[in-house]
Amino acid sequence: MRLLVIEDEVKLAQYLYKGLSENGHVVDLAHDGIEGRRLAIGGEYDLVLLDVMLPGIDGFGVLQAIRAEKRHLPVLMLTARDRVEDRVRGLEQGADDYLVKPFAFSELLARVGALLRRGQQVGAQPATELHLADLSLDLLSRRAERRSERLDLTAKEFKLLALLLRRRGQILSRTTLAEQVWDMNFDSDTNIVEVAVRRLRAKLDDPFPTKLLHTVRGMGYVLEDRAPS
Amino acid sequence: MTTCNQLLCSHSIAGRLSKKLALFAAVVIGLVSGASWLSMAMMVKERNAQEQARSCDIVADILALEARNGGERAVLQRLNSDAPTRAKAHLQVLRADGSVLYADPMSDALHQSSHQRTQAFQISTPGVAGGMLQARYTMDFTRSAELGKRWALTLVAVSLAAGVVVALGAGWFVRRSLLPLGGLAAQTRAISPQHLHQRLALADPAEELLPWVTQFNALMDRLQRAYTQLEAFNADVAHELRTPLATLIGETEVALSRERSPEALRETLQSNLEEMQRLSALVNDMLFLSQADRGVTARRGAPVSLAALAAQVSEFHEATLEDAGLALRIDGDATLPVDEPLVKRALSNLLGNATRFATPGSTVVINIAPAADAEQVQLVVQNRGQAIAADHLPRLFDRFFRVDSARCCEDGQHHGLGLAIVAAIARMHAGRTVAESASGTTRVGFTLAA
Repeated sequence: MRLLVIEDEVKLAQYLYKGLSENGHVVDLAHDGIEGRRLAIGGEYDLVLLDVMLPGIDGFGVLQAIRAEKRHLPVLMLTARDRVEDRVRGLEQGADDYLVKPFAFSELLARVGALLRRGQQVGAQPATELHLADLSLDLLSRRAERRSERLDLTAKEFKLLALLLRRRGQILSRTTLAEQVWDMNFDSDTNIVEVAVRRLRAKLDDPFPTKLLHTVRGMGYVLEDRAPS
Repeated sequence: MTTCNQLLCSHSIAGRLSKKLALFAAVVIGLVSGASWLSMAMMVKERNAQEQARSCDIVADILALEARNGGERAVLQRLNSDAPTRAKAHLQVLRADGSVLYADPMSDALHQSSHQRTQAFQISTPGVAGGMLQARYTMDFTRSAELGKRWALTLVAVSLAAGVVVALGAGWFVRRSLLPLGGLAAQTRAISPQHLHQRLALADPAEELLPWVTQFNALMDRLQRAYTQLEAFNADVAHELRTPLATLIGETEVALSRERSPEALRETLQSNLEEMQRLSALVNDMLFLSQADRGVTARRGAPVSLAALAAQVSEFHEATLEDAGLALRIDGDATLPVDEPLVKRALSNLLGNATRFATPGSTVVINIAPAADAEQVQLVVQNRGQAIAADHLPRLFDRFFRVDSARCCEDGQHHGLGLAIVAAIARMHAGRTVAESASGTTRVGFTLAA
């Protein structure tokens, strides 16, 4: 996927470049609004990461230019200003999503992935059964099994496991999990997600030799089969 | 100040008051003087008329007597001999047929005088042809008119002088009465951030100034409290940031001080990341609080069931509640347009708190009910557990306030802004905070305006 990052803060732009490249994207950088606008309109990109405060033209100006030329190019806005008006203004002018600095990189990656999928998956049948190693989930009957043994999960635990399984291999932050599973759209300062994951792990992994649910310290959780096959 | 009368315009109360009082005094005294002058003038005029009538009577009597004794000749003789007694008057006597019998020579003074008065009368004289005489007696009253004029001038002068005296006197008195204001200004000037505890005091309490001074002092009390709180908050923020920063710097320095295996470096980075995320959460919470302080209000959506929101939040807390061996119950409901994410956040913070402090095995209750004043809905989370001291209750919602610092923060997850955020969310919904603790039950929550 080709991404354009329009960000004037060099250190942040470099780390975005590094992180996104390592996750399989081709990344171009623009350090001011004018260059960003030229690249966004002239180049072929699947997604634009756009900072609000930019020299030259600010992010809203760039966004306007992009929307005038390319109506369907997904734009993810980044800003240090957590003002509601800003957020509303960005979304009203056609931004597809909005992230407030400081943000976790895993969070950014998840949003980028979601926006890119949104562009592609139109019409694709969502799977009703998910598998990973000896784990299988039937989304319709809400059954979770490992080695054909039924796992006794609560509704939320099932939802949590389904999300981790659908996004297998991706690190999901606590914030993302709280948002997607429990619809809690705020940074909770307690260890609630941690406890929930621990309880899921007790049912999912503890009785079995191969562990699937892994903690990535400081970043979140990932569901993957790490056993050498 | 566009239509400002030059005479009445002044920027000092004393100046304005004394000018107005002076004008007022001059007008009142002027009116009194005018009235007294008028009545005096009328009295003088009446007295003059009486005097003239008496003179006319005397003349008539004398002439009637002379006419009876000696006819026209005797009358004429008497008139001529008496002429000097009428120096300031003029007498003209006519016969019955209108011809002039006698006239006093016209004196210059009388001729020029504008204050003269003529009285005509008839004298019955049977011994004279026609049987009667007509007389015209003119008198000069210039002197009494002049007296009246001088009196009037005196009165005008007295009125003006009284005005001036009142102006000066009033100015002096007013300035004297307003002296405490100058003292208050000096006292106010002396209050600075270093001397915030100072208050205004009146040496001689005046009823008009006292409420002002009391209000000002109350305002200063509130300001001082806010200022002290802000200073403490700044110190707390610095402290909260310094500890993780020190850890980060130290850990990184140690990691870099010698060759490390990739695993060891990864370990350091992961630990640093956790620390930085804690910092980031702290900064985000502080930004949220500062937005609430700036007066940002909640974005209310369509009316929702608060019990349903509470159920969502308790699902989120399901695992931690079970871990702590706690049961949960939701009592009551109300449907209200609220900012859903904010109310969920507040409830989550309250529930987190209750979970940490509840006695294991007890039941945590989320209670939704109309507040005492019925205008608002009250959302309270109730838990069994050690009571909170009464003097701690009002401070529960202060930033970084911890009832028992040793007990709450061993996991480093709770930076002491949770309840401050609840208070901010209540404020954003025009509500207030609620905290009670009695006989082993602690109730902490907030209200929402409908």
